[in-house]
Amino acid sequence: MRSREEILALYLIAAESVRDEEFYIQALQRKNYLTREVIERWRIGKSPTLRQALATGLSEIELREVGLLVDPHDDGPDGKPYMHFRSSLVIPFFASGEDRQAGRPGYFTSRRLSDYAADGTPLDKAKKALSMPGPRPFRRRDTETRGNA
Amino acid sequence: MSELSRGVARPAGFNLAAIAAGPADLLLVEGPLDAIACCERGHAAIALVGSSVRGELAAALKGIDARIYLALDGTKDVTPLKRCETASELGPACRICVLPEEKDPDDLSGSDLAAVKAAARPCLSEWIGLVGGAGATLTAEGGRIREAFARAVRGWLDAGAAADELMHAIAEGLKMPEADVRTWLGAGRGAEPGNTPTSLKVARAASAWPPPGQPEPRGPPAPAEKRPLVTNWMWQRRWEATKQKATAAGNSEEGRRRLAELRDLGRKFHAGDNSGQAGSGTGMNAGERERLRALVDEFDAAEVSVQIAKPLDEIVRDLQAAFGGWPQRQGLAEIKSPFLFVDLGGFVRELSDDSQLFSWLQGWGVVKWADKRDCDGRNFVSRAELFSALTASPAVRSWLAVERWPHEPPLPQHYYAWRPMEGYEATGETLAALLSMFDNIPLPACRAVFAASLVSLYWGGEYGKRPAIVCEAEQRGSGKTTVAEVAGELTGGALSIDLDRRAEERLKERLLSPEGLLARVALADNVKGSIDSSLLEQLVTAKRISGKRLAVGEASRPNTLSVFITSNNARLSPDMVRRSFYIKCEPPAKTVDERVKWERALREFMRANAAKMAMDAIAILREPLPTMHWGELRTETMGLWASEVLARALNNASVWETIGEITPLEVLQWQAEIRRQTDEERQEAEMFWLGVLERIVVWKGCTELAGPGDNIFIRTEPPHESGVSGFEDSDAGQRRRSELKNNLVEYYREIFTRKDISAKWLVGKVKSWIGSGYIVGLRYVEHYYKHGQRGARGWLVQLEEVKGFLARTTRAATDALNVSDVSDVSAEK
Repeated sequence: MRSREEILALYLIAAESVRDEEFYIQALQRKNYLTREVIERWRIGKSPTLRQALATGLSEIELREVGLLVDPHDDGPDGKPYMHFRSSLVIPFFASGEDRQAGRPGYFTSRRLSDYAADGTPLDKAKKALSMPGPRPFRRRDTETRGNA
Repeated sequence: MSELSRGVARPAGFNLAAIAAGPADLLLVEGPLDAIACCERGHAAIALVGSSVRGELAAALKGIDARIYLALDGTKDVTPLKRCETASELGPACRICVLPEEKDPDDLSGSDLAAVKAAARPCLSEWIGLVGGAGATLTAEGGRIREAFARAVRGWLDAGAAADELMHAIAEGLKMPEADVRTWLGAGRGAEPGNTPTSLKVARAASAWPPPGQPEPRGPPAPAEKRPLVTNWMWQRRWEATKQKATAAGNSEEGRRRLAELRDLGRKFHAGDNSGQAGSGTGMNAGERERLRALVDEFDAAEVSVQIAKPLDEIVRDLQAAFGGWPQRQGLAEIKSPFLFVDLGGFVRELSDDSQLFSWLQGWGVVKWADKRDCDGRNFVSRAELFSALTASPAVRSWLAVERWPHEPPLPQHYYAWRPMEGYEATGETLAALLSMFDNIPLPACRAVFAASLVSLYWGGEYGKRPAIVCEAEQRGSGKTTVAEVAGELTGGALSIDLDRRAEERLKERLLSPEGLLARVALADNVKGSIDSSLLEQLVTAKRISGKRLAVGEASRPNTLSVFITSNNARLSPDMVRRSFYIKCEPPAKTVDERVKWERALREFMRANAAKMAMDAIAILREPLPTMHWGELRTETMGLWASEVLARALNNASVWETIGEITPLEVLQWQAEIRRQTDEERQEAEMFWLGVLERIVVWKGCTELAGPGDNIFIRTEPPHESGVSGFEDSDAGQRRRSELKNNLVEYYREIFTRKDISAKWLVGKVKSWIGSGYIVGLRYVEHYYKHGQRGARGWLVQLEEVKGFLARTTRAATDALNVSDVSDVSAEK
């Protein structure tokens, strides 16, 4: 398994590679100073889907290891693993200028791309930011234990 | 970060690389996007990723030359205190930017950011503004601000800030003497003369106690064989003629003369000897001896012992000699009701009548008391006569008061049965421990008053110079009664005061009863309604409380009482307010279990430590008066108490640490603020009252108003003394009332628009509504003025909505209602 730095660097590559035109428009709508140049200078990415992240060569275990892939728990959608950042700007933290140049982030935080869900309902503004969590301890799902109990 | 294998530690900040670039100015903002925006607009910025400064970031910023600006978001949750606390992490020089409301740094243009930076003030200046203004806001927040500031300053000092420079700047900013600032903020405390933590040399306390001139306590009874004899008679030796000779001599003038001569010479022979033994005749000359011998022979006289009545003054003198000066008297002999007491070694036994006196004498001596008359026909002194003589005799020492607990300094003419506790070194720690058990008093100014009120119980200051202590809370269950009871229990129980008028009359009787005389605390618990009692004011300010003592008559006591009042939202008259100090309580967040545990712990503590508390208080009161700078405060009427008790209590290191950083001057300023607010409530209430009156006038179509107070009267309607027709106490009236009460709007409308009710009745009615909380204060007035003539409906609906606010506003409203004859009004009803 790769080291944490490598995993985060690959995740950043994934986040940068999935930026598309719509993303730049949404980002500019969100904050008027988030122009294409600013986004690229600060290496702000778009949260990749699991499929997109796996396409960079990362494995599910590696993503889960650093907390980017979240094990399903009670409030998880559909009981399936899901990506920690979804539909958001992901902002990488770099310890130094060199790290930024080399694309070695140490941490990520995110901002929503929109205050509205896909169906148009407003989202809770209090939950506007999502930072990288620590990985959850592995828990067996209730459905798995219920039969044996 | 490579050492982090699994868990992801949040970095100390976003864009930390900016530090390495060595900017001249560095902005600290909350979010990464804010930092990006600022950087893009030409201002180097780091994001805190949150609203607090992490230790690693503070350390990283410590050595850099850049001017650091803290620019937290302009949201409501970022209070000035929050800004100051956050900036304090970065030292007193960190500048604080205040952003426009609801604006984040990324909402500002480059020039706006430059303007915000230009307007930024150093953290210390912001603190000074905040602390200086804290006195004006009477909330627990003010206390928190002071505590936070002191914490911040101590943090700076620990981090190596120049103490002298810092203290000087703070003193100048807050316009306080530098010494006070040092005392308050803990810098140099202990180094200053007079500020050394109090450590009472217990030897000093013990050597000065009891006060000089007090007799030794009588102590327990002596063994039976050593108990002194108490009698109302004495033996007398006499030469008695035989019966026959005496009868014979009685027949002639000459015989009677010689018989009398025998008696006189015999008396001279036994002079000075009441022991019943044979006489010596030492006081007689030879001729008299010869003459006596001749007479003895003539009448066949024999030497006999007879019991004769002992003169009263001799009995008193003998009693005092036998019992070492006991019993003594409480109360001056000139007043009618002194009583006797005897100190049995820490326990004062009161002897309030002859049976009690003799009950004690029987236990401590051997009483042989004769009745009726002696052989010469004189009455023996009775028990009651002896008691009466003792209460008036100049041979018996009088004390103004008998105290179970000490005063410091001891008051002249007070007898103290208290003795210092052996082996306890009083340092104020017991008092501090007791204070720290109370987490329901959040304001340091109130904690200080609580501490001082406990010390005050032992203060031997002038009579009538102890303030009333008002334990007040806005909510029930705040533990205010416990606060007051603790004070009472320390000195053997509080005397409860009932402010009911009839009970007031009896209160003096109770205060002057033997048990009441020993009380140091009078407690008016859970007072409801307005506190405008002249008796209560008298209890606070009178030098001497005099009144009727039950079954005795006029009596008096010197006023060393501390009056405690507990109330939810106390309503004090202006005179009382001036004489009161407030302890504001808030409900402690305790579960039932915690509460039970706490109450048990408190009870246990009180039981075990009452004596130590007295020692601590004495120790504190013995310290030299700290040098105080009271400034220009001119409104304080309890200055003596503040200077002698409050200042000393706060000067004690242990107490001071428990209370929090506050100076006596600040306590007074806070208390003045509390009083001022109380007054403001009264003014609000007066406004309200005028508003109500105006409304009544409008409704009644009246234009003529006689004036405020008792004379308010609406003239257009003839007064109708018998109440409101249709609302009588008949069944129909009751029914009508209850129907209408379901719809308050209609009820009030009907009442106010009746033509058959008197204005006086209406006033009484309004007053009762206010008293019972149906009408609120300022809110109504505001509403009324805002909505003009929209009528009762809006007001009444408003009433229903704001019932939650009633407690605060109505209490003052009722105070302001100056219509005194409530009884008349109810009689009319």
